[in-house]
Amino acid sequence: MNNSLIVKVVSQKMVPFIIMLGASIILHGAATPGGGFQGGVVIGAAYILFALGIDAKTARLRLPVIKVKIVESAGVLIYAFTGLGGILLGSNFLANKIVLFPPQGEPGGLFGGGTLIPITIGVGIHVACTVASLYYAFVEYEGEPKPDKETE
Amino acid sequence: MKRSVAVILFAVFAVCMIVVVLHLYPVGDPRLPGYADFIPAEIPSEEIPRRADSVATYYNRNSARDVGGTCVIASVILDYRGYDTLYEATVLFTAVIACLALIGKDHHHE
Repeated sequence: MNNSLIVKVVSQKMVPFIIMLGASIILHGAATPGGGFQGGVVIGAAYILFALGIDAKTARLRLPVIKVKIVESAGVLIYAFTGLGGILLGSNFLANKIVLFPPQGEPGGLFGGGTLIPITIGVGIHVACTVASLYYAFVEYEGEPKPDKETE
Repeated sequence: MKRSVAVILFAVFAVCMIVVVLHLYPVGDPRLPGYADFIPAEIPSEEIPRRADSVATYYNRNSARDVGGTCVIASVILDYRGYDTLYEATVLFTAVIACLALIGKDHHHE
């Protein structure tokens, strides 16, 4: 597989489209079925496909582990700080309609849910980085994928 | 001493839990909140509006007004049950950190 040009090219060309699909699922979390967890897994799978197409070392250089960990923590913090906005405006944690934070859009639209959109984006970022970092951990544990000499 | 305190505490909690379980409705009872939309035929019709005012029916009817999103499931898990999802994400985060600490390699000492 390491020498297959078709696998390499197709996997690299597919990655932006899969990421767009995942972002679409995340951003429509308040309007349609789907949401942060599902869209995040799609984006994480896109990264795994990207890392499988080229070798793991190059993929690790493109997206370093420390950046993944920072962004992963930021995903949970987006959720928590969205909830803190309710406290700062004088209501309870994760208050939505009462304090009108964040600004409410048209009901049924993309931003109709108020806190739903920042929460969904935070969860999506978190889950995508979770999948990517777990892939990192397992690949490092198993070692570099070695080229299979017998099939050549 | 410690052991007897532990035994007494265990007995107290066990009695509390057994009493609570004895006061629950049986499984499948239509008086349970989850069975709001299931109305048996023997219920008189004047009881139906009161019976339909339960949590599932409330979410279905009012989530668009309370939250604003059209997806009722997203409204429930992210707004009505927002604390649950927040700690669910935190549990996932903790699990990943534990996985990385156990099997991940430390890049700073390579």
